[in-house]
Amino acid sequence: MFKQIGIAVLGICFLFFASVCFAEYKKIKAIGSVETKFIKTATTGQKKLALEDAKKKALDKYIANLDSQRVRILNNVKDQIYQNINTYVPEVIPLNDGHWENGYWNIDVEASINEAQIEELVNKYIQTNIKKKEETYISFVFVAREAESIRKFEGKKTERTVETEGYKEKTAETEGETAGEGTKVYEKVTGGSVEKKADKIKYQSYIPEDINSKVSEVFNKAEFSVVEPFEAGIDTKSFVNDFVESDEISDATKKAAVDAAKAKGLNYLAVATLDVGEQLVDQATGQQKVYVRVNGYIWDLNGKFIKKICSVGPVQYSGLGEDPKVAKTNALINAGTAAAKDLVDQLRVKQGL
Amino acid sequence: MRKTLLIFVSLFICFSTSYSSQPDVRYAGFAFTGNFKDISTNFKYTYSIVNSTKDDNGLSVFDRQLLKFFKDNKSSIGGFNLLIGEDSDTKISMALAVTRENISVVNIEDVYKIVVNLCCNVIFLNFDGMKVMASYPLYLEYIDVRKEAPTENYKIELVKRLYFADDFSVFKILKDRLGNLKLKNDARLSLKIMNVYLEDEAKDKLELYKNNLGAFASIVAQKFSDSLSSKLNVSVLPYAKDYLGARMSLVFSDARVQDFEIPPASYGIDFTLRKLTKELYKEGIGEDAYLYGVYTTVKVYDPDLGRQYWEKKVKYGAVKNIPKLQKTVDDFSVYDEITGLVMLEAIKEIQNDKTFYKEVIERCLNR
Repeated sequence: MFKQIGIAVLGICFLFFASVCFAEYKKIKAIGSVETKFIKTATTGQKKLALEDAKKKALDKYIANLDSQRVRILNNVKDQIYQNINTYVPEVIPLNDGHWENGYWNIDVEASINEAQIEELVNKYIQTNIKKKEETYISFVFVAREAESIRKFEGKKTERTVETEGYKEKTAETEGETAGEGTKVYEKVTGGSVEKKADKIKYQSYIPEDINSKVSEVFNKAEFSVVEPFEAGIDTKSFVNDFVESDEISDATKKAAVDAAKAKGLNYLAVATLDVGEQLVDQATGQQKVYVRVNGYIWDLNGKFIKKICSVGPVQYSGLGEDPKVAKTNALINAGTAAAKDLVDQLRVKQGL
Repeated sequence: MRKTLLIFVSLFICFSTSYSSQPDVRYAGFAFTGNFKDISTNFKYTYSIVNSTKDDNGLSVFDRQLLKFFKDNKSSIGGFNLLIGEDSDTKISMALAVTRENISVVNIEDVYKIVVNLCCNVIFLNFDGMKVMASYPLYLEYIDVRKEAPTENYKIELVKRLYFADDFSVFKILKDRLGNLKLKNDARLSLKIMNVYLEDEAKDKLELYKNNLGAFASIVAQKFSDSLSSKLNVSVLPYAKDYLGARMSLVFSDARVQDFEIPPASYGIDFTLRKLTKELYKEGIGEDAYLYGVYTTVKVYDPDLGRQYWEKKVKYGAVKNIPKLQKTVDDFSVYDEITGLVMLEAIKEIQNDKTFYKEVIERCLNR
């Protein structure tokens, strides 16, 4: 009976793998080498070694193009990856039949990198290392603003005209005979200036709820415990009010938020301001496009003094959508998520992961 | 024991059926390639046909004819299971995309010569990752001479015919290629035309395109891609220079715009058109014989690892008799024709070089 169940399970596994055989891998090209000295061909064993070498080189090439934090983590577990190379590089396709050069037999390959497995390894490493430490609490305030009305001012023109009283006399001469001609030229000098006044923009500011879950997801995935601002005693309304009046959050608001968060035992506080631009028509897609400019930073609340330990921006992100509302939401999500990811990566480096 | 054997046999049958079953591919319709804002200028006539033939459901003649075409010819498809209007979880879609439309009109003595180039691609798209999985280039060239200057309406009707006619059209080429369309499996490598170089001695002879050599280079690339794909049955990716940053934007007829990544090629091909020549071959009484020649270099290499696999200078010549009384001679059409023929010569050379064929081409075969 157990045998029958076992066979059935095995069969289901086969069927499952048959249905998911179209998994997409990242392709990386690499050259695998094996020393053959003076013999210009490689034995089956040597070919196998060259392919193993190509797998390792393809993986190294892939890792070299990742962000510095992932490079650091993967370098720490390099031996583990090499031992299970077939999991991370499940496939190599030779691009040629192999060539001998200077005592080495080389083969070019197109290797498939299983990015999902590598990301899984990175996450496991982070979890293991973070669990050794205490729980890390973070709260964030991401505040957005957009123009409610724009008052444009025409340039103020001042014109000045001066008419000179004197005149210039010009004489023309032709070959053979001399003829005198006097021309009186009166000069009129005009000048002035244009005084331009900057457009007066009235903003409306708000906490974009659309991006809160996305930003929380980024912090949660990085093993931080996200604390809601209301739980931490942070007054988000003062951030909203400040961002309506100025491009920056006032020192008083910052101080109040930091003190409240520190008093509640939080380790970090992230703040980002998102400036929503005007909507445009994207020339490539014909859809509505909105740009969002983001500035963000994280305060370390752990020590005696509050330190700004990582920052991002100003950097712009865009969002596309069939109508301006969708485009704006997409732009905010893109900007918020990207800023949060960047801040998390910097924070991990600072934490020494 | 018998029960175990029975279960094993039935599971083996299930497994082998599932394994051999074709992947599901959703039918995605007709699309234009390139920026949305350029479509009305880059595909002037095709775009006009799409817009002027929309029915109450918003379907153009392309949508209707293509749908009918695939329904009628579904049995000819062997490499995948095409789903038309059926529910499925598949993320893979197939579209027919027009990549270039070119119409040239030249006045020669008292006649007008019309050259139409239509470049299309059958593209398999993976919406999970937004990648181009495979593409099959289709190229059609039509040359006609008529006494009257072609009107805009004539051109629209001509282009329409060249898409849908039973005897000579894009649809006819597609019908002939349908059995060979297969979905890329991971063990197959691909080729891509990386560069088309036009040297000075060739540029001088390309009067029709003297102000737009980039368009000629794209047509040459598409023509060579089509020849490689159909004659060698290899996997060929879309010409790189047509798409910025290896991304292909597809504008579907319902105005949806999707941006797909073109995967990097396993092997790159450079096609250099070195020289186009015309020499008096034999002088006759009523007509003279001229020898037209095309000189090219074809190079196959690995653009990432820098290894060169094959390079050959290939030339082709053709003799044309020209009556002494004929005042104007349309040399361009002869150059255009022999450029297509030199590509077939290059393909023959590739087939004859057994070592290179085995090492590179066999790895790119659609199978």
